[in-house]
Amino acid sequence: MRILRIGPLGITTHRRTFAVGVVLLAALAALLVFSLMQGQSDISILDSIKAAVGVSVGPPADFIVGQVRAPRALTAILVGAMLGVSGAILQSLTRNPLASPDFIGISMGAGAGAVMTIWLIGATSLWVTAAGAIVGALVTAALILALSWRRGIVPLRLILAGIGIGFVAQALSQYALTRMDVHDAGNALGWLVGSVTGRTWTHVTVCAVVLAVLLPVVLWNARALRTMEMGDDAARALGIPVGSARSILAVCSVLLAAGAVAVTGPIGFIALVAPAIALRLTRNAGVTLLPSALMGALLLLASDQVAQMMPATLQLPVGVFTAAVGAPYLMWLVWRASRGGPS
Amino acid sequence: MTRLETRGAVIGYGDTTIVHGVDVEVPDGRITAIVGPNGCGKSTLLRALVRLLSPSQGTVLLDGEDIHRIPTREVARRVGLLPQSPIAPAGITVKELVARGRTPHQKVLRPWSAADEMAVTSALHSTALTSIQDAVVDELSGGQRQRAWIAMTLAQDTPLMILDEPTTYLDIAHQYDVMDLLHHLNERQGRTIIMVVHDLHQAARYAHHVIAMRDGVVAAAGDPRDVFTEDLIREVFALEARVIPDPVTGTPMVVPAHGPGGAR
Repeated sequence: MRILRIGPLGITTHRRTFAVGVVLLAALAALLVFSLMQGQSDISILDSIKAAVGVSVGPPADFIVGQVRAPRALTAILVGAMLGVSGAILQSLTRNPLASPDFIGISMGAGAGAVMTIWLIGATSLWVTAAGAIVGALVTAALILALSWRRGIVPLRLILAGIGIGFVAQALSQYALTRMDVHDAGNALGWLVGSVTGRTWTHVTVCAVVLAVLLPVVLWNARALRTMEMGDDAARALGIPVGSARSILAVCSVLLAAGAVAVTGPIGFIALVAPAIALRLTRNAGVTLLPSALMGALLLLASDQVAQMMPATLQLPVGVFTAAVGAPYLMWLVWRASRGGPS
Repeated sequence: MTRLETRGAVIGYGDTTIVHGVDVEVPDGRITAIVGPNGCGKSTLLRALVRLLSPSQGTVLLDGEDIHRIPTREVARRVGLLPQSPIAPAGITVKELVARGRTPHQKVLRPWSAADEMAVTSALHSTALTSIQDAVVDELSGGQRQRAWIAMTLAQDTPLMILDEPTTYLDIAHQYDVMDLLHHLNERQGRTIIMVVHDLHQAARYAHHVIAMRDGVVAAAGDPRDVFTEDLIREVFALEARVIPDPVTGTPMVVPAHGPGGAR
């Protein structure tokens, strides 16, 4: 494998990883422009891009692109990236391709937290719901850890405990729904499906803030994450402070998932699938964070596009669509694991 | 001379004490073998020596300083470890694996340096892996894989190297291959080597200093010729044995005193 070094920043990467990153970025940009133009009104490429970045080109583009399509697409991109990174961290920490926040209950916990917030506080502000989701995710993560802790994290126990807690969280959400005011329940239910429809610039801002805070922390610990894949002893012997690095990374992963759920509701499978595809494309040995982020962004934006292009009678929220795509992948993974092959 | 020693170290996991207050000195620039029956605490002691475990009483001193007061990264620049069952990330190549040995010398925003490249090249060369440096580690034979891990530890460029059962799971030829490699590293590069080994014959042939443990204490320590006696083998391993000189090297060779079926 040939190594590419990027200037004074001291970032080293494989040429293949770099190439995959560039291709994913280009695909993402193209799909973004496409998504800005797609829809019923005819708006030119140039006007779409101008309206999206806030340059007024007059109606209807200013509203349709500037206030509807652009925030929706950007929300999909940012949430996809958050889910991709969150899943990549969890899969690397547990050395298990099945570990992703929507599988081990974190997303359900975040969902329960948000629904409870809507129920108890009657929250309508996104920031309050987001805070509820984050608290829910952290409580869930703490519970999962407490249940699976045996002198350290035991990956299989963690996943089983997570699945169990996830069901409890779901039950809690459903209980809250039955107790709520009908109007609130309608809101909460719509949100629980997982969708990027009708997302505004506020949603984009929430995502951007979460990513801007957490991504640098994650990247700063990327080497520790990669080294810990060789086992705790080997990582410690190589000078990695395993305990603190693992805690920081786990908390970042949980917060990224919680932020994503707060903004779009639980969208399944992106966090599970994106890191796996990124790994296969880059052929990296071990976790590959930025490609996972790009892959997650691309997958969610593409899923939302396909969902939008369905005939009106078949309009699906993107969460339903990612589940339809992700489920076969999961079955394939289980089938492979049951044949004892490398996973 | 010693850079690494324990003083009254009591080591265990949680409430279980496994090593009961041992004083061990690792002679500098030599090969030290830790031997003993299963469960005697040799691996536990080894883990404490490289700071994977902290003694509940007593201390481990590295260069005269309490090893737990030295930052993790600094310890990793002085003591390298090859754990018993490290995990090679799927698809990693030999060179990439060896390069990971440079981790304690790297910082987040510091580029891969000429010193890093040199250490990796020289580690590949010392372990005769240069020609297969682009091979995928999972696809290597057991012996080659173990050499790759040793090369990673070498690239870490530490004066002290600790190996936990480096020859387990290898066939006899590859076992001696690894031992010869360690001998060369000690002779030519002056590295201090500490290893846990099960095979007393290998310990006697290759180590300058042997620490024999039983039930969490040091039963004997010193030159293999002094340590490997019939009395000590009986005391430590509960085995009646004869100790005869190795026909090739003259080092002590432990032979069970009973034939097949004639036990005790």
